[in-house]
Amino acid sequence: MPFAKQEREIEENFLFFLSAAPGLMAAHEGEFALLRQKRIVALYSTAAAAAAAGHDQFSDSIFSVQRVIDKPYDLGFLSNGSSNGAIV
Amino acid sequence: MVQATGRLSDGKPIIDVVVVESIGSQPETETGYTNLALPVRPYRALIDTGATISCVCKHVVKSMNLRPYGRIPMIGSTGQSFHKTYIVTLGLMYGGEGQADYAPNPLSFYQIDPGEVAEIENNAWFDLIIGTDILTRFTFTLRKGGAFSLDLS
Repeated sequence: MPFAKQEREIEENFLFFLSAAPGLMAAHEGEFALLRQKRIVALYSTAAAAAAAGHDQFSDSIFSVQRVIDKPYDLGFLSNGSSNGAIV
Repeated sequence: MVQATGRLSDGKPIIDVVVVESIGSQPETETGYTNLALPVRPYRALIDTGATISCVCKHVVKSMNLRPYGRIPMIGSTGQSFHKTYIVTLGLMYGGEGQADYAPNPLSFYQIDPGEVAEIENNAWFDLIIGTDILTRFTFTLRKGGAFSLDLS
């Protein structure tokens, strides 16, 4: 499976980030967190900047990027497609 | 005026886009107008003013070998689900048929700053969704009769 190590890193960091995000909202809402091994390395104004910093800092490119938000994105049209939000 | 134009397809505003994975695997290029003869594959993108983030279908992720970067919660009519995210550069193809500047070859597209997109299931109508995160950078006009345009000026 391509990106298997990266997928694991994303999952672990995401679970950590769910608990960390509320504390970041006041000062960093909408910014993008660069995460490595369940730790926030830094925050950036764009996803691309966070990803570029991750590739620069970590030679194995194992890291994740999470946006600081307190509510889910809206699926829009797609959500009307089926009972599970997927249309096939 | 440079515009991405189209007409409703099955009642849906669909435009042609190209996808470039620029972060970590491709050389960076400047945002703006590009006029290149590249072996890029056009995809069909739904313009969806109800989506707050742009999306890519799973088959696009697979064919472009996109690298995942994170996960996000998304909510729809049936509740919340979690989706993988990718950071991609999209190019909006401009100069539709009937336009004075229509030029099918070389391929013409307006390249947008790389941004976060969410993965969604495949479907029969489109390959990507252009949400309000991208739409709000331009002027979108839907006209009587179903023609629409996205002003890229």
